[in-house]
Amino acid sequence: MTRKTPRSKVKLYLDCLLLASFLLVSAPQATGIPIHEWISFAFIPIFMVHLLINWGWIVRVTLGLFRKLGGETRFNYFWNLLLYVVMTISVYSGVVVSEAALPGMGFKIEIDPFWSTLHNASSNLLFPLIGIHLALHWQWIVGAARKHLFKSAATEADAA
Amino acid sequence: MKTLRAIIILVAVAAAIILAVRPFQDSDWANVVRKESKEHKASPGSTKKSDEATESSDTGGPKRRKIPNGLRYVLPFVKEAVMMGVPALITFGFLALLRRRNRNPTQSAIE
Repeated sequence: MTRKTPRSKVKLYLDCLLLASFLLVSAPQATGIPIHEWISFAFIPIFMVHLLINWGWIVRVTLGLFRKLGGETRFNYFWNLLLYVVMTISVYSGVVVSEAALPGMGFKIEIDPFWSTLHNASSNLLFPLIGIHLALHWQWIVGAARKHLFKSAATEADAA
Repeated sequence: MKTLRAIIILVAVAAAIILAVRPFQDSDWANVVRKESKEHKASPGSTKKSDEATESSDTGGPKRRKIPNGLRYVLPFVKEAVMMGVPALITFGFLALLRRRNRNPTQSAIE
């Protein structure tokens, strides 16, 4: 009999992977531009899966926007929407000014300083947006980590 | 089927955002940004590498100082930690105040 992995555990591991990949993508001075661009292509599907896993919440809150909703939920919704807008602008502007990945695939890209500036600005704006996003969900993060990371480590230590 | 519908909606919203932003590349603001970028590239001393700093030496000309390699790999992550951490801490503080106020409504009313 196989035990099904809890949904919250999958969400936690995925979110850890998402955060780690975001931190790596956001440090092109350390990784270099080629690695930055290739990791960005890997980051996009992870980000999409994060949204798909939380799709139920997105739909529920969108449909309930004009009904009675808590202030924190409403704020959370619009903050997440802003995050999505800025992320989309950052990804698109990054693709348009690609210096390594797309030219390596044969696409001829002319670097436009406007899109380059917009990419820098939107990427820098993502940091505080994501910091606040993490703070708003901190209780869930700590709860899930205690349940699936620290508790399972304690259980393994006891078994040993 | 639900997942496919969700993906279509997400891609459609992203496409709408991109279509809303694209016209800005032909705006006066974009031309100003391009002009400033051209002027910045053309100005002397603007071709210095990101891992070097320029300081004036006693002989009169600029002397290049290299940033240690280790710092080059660490500083970007320090920047991320600060730019994410500070807003997160401010949010924690704000939420804690809000929750304390909601827990003690009579006390806050008296105050």
